Amino acid sequence: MIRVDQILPTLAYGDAIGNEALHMQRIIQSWGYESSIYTINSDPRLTNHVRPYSEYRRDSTAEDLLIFHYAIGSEVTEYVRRLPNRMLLIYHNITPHEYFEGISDEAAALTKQGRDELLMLRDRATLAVGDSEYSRQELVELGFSNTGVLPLILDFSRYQTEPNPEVLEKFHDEAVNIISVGRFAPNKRLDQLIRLFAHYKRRKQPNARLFLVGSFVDFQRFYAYLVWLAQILAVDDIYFVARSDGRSVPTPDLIAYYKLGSVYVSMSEHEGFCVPLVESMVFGLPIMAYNSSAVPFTLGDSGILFNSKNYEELSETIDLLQTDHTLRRRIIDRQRQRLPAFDILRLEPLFRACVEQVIASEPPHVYW
Amino acid sequence: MSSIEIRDPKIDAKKIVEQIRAKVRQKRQAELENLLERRFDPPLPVSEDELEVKRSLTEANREWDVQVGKQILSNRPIIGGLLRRIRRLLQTEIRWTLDPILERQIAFNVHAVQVLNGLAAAKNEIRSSLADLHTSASIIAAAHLDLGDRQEEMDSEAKDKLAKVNSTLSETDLALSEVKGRLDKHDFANLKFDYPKFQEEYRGSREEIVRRQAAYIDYFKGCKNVLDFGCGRGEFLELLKQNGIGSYGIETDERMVELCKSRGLDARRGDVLSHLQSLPDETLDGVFSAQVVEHMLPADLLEIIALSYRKLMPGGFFVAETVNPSSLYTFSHAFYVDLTHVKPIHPQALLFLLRMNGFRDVAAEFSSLPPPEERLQSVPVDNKAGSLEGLNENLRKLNDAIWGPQDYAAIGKK
Repeated sequence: MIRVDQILPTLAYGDAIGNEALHMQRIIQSWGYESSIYTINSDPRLTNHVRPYSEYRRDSTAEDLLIFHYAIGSEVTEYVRRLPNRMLLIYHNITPHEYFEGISDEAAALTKQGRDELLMLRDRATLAVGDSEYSRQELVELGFSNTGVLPLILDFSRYQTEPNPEVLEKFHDEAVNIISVGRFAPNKRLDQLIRLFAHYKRRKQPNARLFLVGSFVDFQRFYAYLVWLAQILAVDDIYFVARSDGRSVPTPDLIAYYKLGSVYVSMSEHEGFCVPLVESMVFGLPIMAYNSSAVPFTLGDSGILFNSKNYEELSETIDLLQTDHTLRRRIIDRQRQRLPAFDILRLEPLFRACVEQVIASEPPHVYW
Repeated sequence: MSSIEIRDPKIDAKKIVEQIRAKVRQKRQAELENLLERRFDPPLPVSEDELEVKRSLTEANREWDVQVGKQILSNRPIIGGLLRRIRRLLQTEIRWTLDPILERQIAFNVHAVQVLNGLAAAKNEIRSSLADLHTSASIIAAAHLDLGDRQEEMDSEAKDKLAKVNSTLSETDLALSEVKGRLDKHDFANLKFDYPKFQEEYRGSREEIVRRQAAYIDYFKGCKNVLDFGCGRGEFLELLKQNGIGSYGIETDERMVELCKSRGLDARRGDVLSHLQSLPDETLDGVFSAQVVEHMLPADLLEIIALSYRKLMPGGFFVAETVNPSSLYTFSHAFYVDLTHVKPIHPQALLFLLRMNGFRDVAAEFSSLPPPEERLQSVPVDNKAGSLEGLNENLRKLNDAIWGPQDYAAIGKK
């Protein structure tokens, strides 16, 4: 019996890709294959699950199949390129490095390296799948010949967790709560979201809050800018919900904010998949999202897409979602109808088909 | 693209966008009205402390005069009169000492009260200016907010437009390279086609051409600077040289240029249009070309004729030989033999162009009749058969139409 292993630079707890890798490992094992996860470094709480990537060659034979989660540049790419194994590349997309210039030199360098190195895998991947149609199109543009789409596999059981009652209690009132979830990364344009909120609160609905739930460790400078922006706009009730130790916000808290939310707003200009959109669908939160990158593919035909960031119109749209109950209900229903697309019942056979297609292929020609 | 998209057949997204825009307009109007109203708000409310100060000031204005002008009265019986007298005496005595002090006190009071009144007036002025400032500040703040929003809108609009321009540009680039590719195919210089060899085989031998072109020498007798554009293998250049006529050729095909040079002829590689443009006016005393204009696009031909006229000295001839499309024979035997021919040029068209550009004595000189055996032969005529003459006449017309002269040269003189 061959092995089906996964390799990725970092396995972070609470990170969408890390979560997917852990979930996939369980699925692969349920098919009867042996399966480990190889990384450079990982969250200390997960060390039991993973092995150092440099051990992979020793642990495996050329017959084994390797799944490479690709989201950033690292030494792993070169290592993987020289392996004799058949490879399923899962491309989680990479934020264009321009967004990080002047904010995080490290992130700018790693994302740029990530895009450059991806080309090295063009003739190496047996099958390359994007986690969205947007990512797949990018693979095709880069010259990958055998491509597909495998939406991000999410662990929906996580959303059964009880929300943190303290959070629910603290903000239990009539206020309009605007929610945005994700790393405080420049491409997400939280600066514009703060401006929109300032507009909405000052000119439309004074009884409003903005919850920015995420993490700021990688982009301290951007976070400082956001805090400064909130100050000079003299707008209250903006909550930066993040932990200073860099870990992600605990699941019960995250769920509490989704439950408190009146609307989910995304101003993001680049998303490889955008998990919070699916989470908003789960928690019945109407979505308003800027039409960019993978966003329309993840939304399918649900939610509200906007093509220009006109704060006046967006403020009115937020307001409309609070006052027009028929519209609100219809949007939420339509979002819920979108959920089966991400259900494991649908994704597992898709994932299996990808793995089997790679197993049935010829081993690659590897040039050292 | 609509600003807001809701991809749900059960929701009329267009209607919602209209609804939102109407609300935006309404809100702007309301905010503007609100601002205008605020300009006429009463001044800032007056606090209790301030009222106290105001009252004190009124008092001060009333009480500044501390002169003791009180009338001395007493109603006591009997001693009343005495008391009055004593008090008046005392009063007079005290006045002697107190009055100078009181006068100074009053003078001080007057000044102090005036200062206070001035301060109070200034304070009121400051208060109303402050109220104005408040109003202005709120107008500016609102305008600033508005500007900020507009800026963001314009930024994102500009970005959208830039992206559109960029994508149009890249589309244009793509289209351009496609067009260029197609154009390259039309440029015979890019063809992998051995034209010299083709000419050798189909144009006729060098000697044959020299013999045919000898007829044109008369137009250039005594000239010193004749341009032969598209000089090819240089037959005419050689003829000119033999006749002691100064000349040079311009040719796009490098192999032809080399061929001419090897024969000691002055041929230069280049494009005739740009060459003519580079020449000073009235420097050529003759322009010649043979079998060239049918390779050109009409626009280029027009320009070459116009330029030739400008570059020719008065009296100089322009001679351009080309295939004669009024002879049907040329279509079956000449014009379409050469892949690089663009279009046949009818003598009337070419003559018109010459006249239009100012050439005089414009005429066409036909040459290269097809071999006589290929033309229809006349039937012998006897006396009885007068009709045969008509037949022959018809045959002659038929000959002209089908087996007419193959070439013509358009000639003009400046």
